[in-house]
Amino acid sequence: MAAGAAYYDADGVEQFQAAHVVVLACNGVGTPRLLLNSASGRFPNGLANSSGLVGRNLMFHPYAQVYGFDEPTDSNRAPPTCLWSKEFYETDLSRGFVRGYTFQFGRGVGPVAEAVASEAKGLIPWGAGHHAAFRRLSGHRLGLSAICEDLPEEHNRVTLDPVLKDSHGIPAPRIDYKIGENMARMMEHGVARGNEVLAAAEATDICVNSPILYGGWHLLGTARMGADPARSVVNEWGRSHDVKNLFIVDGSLFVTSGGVNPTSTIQALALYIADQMKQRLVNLFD
Amino acid sequence: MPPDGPLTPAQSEDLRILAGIMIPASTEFDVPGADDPAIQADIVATLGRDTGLVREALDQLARLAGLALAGLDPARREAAAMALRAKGGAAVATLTRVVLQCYYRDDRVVRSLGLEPRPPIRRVMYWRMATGHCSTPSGRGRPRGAARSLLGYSTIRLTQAGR
Repeated sequence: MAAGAAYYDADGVEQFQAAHVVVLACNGVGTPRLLLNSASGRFPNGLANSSGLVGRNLMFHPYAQVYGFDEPTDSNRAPPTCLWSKEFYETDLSRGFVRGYTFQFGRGVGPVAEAVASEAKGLIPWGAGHHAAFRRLSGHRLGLSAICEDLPEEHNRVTLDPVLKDSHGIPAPRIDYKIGENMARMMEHGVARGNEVLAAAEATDICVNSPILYGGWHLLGTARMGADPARSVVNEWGRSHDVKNLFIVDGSLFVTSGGVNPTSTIQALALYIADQMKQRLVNLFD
Repeated sequence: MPPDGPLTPAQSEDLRILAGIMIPASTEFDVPGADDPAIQADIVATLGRDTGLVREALDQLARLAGLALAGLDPARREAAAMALRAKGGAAVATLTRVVLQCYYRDDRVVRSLGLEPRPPIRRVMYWRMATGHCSTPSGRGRPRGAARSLLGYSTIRLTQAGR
């Protein structure tokens, strides 16, 4: 049983908060970091880690983005993300990969984002031609992003950095992650379909960001949920297999990433686990 | 000089000249250049944690130019600036982003693009779902589109946190 949580307060003084129930919600990097940093004589490999899976199976959402420029898109009048397609979401082995992606359509960005992105792509020059080039592009962007379903691979993982520490001397997380072959093929497929859509729309100045650097890096999978204690960190209602009063309610529970943004699912899982705790209150720690 | 300390006067002057080369004023589009005093003030106020990389980019520029930009004729200034852009790298990308960010949020520039210089949602905005248009309490807002409501004849009041 967990006794509570130790933490540093705003003055840097270590404090201890006793608790009957400990609920972790630090997501796919913070949660394994905390569990691994909670190693003790009884739990030498980290808390709740008898399976050895704490920190493993780290998943993201690598986005394969294709965009071009077309007719005015009214991009200043509403959120840029405006349409989704699930056409390539389910497995079709003829595509050369398992699982799939959501195609997310966007219609432009604001002036600052357009200027920064298109200057970096070489579409907007410095000097006299700058203004005309910018005005040709601004408000005309049409883009597609494949939100690709990442799959669990144990070598993609969060561990504790042997050197780097935070300001309190607590080991920092270290992330080892490599885009797998299945993911690479999925992203290539998304880029190809995106190019087809933009070509059909007669878009110009087509650009590819695959993966995009600034988004999609959702933190998932490092304390996976499951019925088998040898193959999961928490049970099917969020309780640690090893520590009966420790619960996890964040993205680290995911067993696959899905091909959609995860926040709604994280919220649903948190509500589900809270409800399970309430319903099982009489024998919560059995 | 600490990495995030202010730029020296010479560095600030090089930054001003470089910004003006990147984005010159235009009478055709009725916009200032990025060397405009207000935009420069915004750049300086915005640097923050980017100061170290911006300083590094300006050091690269100084090496490429051979001396301060202010001491060069326009053609050599532009040649040094273009050489810096061709060189690329994180420092140059950071400097470029800061200049673009501050330039394209300047009210005069935003207006020149046909946009209103304001955040996407005003501090207090009434979204009249029933009639399908937005207006502000001051009555200055104009109807925006004809959104069809699934919520019936309701009015939603959007208020920024802290207001």
